[in-house]
Amino acid sequence: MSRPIESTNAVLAARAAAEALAELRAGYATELPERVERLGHALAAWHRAPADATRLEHARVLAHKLRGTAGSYGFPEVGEAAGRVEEAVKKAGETSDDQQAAVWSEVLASLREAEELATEARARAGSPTSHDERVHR
Amino acid sequence: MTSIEKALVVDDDDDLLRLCKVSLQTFTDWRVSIAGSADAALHAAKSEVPDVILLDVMMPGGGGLSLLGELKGCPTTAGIPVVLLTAADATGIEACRARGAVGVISKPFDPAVLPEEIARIVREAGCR
Repeated sequence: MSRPIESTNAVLAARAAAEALAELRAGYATELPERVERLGHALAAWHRAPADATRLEHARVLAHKLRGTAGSYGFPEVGEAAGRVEEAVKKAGETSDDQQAAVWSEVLASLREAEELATEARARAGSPTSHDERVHR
Repeated sequence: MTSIEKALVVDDDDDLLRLCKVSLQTFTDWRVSIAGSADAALHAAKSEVPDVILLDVMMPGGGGLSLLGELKGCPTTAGIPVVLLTAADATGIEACRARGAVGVISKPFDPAVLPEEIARIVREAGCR
């Protein structure tokens, strides 16, 4: 006779799990533009000193992390754009000086795409104003 | 699912740690610990001896593969099944297996099926 109760508990547990994930995703989406912005800062720092391998590696690691994390949080298009940034940065480390400008254009185009997609994701998750209010409350 | 009771998640990315922890805690009754560095992971693995370790390949220093080597080289932790998280391609995934991981989960992953995937890998590896 305990089956219906177990079944109800399972449904409730599944619903609670789905809600917990949805809440986590919404929080991540709200902060996604700032994450892409951090990547932009790292890329700009590397662009100012292209021979600095540490800056290049830092930018590549940030792009790589965003690639895996954004997709896992349910924003695959942002992850894919970050993946294109990572591939372009890797290419920059392997190409000659005269090709650097072309690679940088590629990096920027993918970064802009990631920025737009991240902003859209945040807009879908809730207004930035309400998040700011939560943060500063 | 399996007889997994304790899981350790290792990643230097807080976002991913949070996602994995929520996923494993809400979909299973496992006890989940997290570690944000190789040192913290080694300490946790030795003191808690989890039933499975979910380890990100892209870690600072020597990376997750270096940590995997340390875990496999220590008698206390050598027997713990390690599942790697990676965005690597097929060649990279084979390299992960060759280092002693029982399986690999590709990023991006679906957090709703992550626990099931870990349990399946561990079960098929005959560890639990």
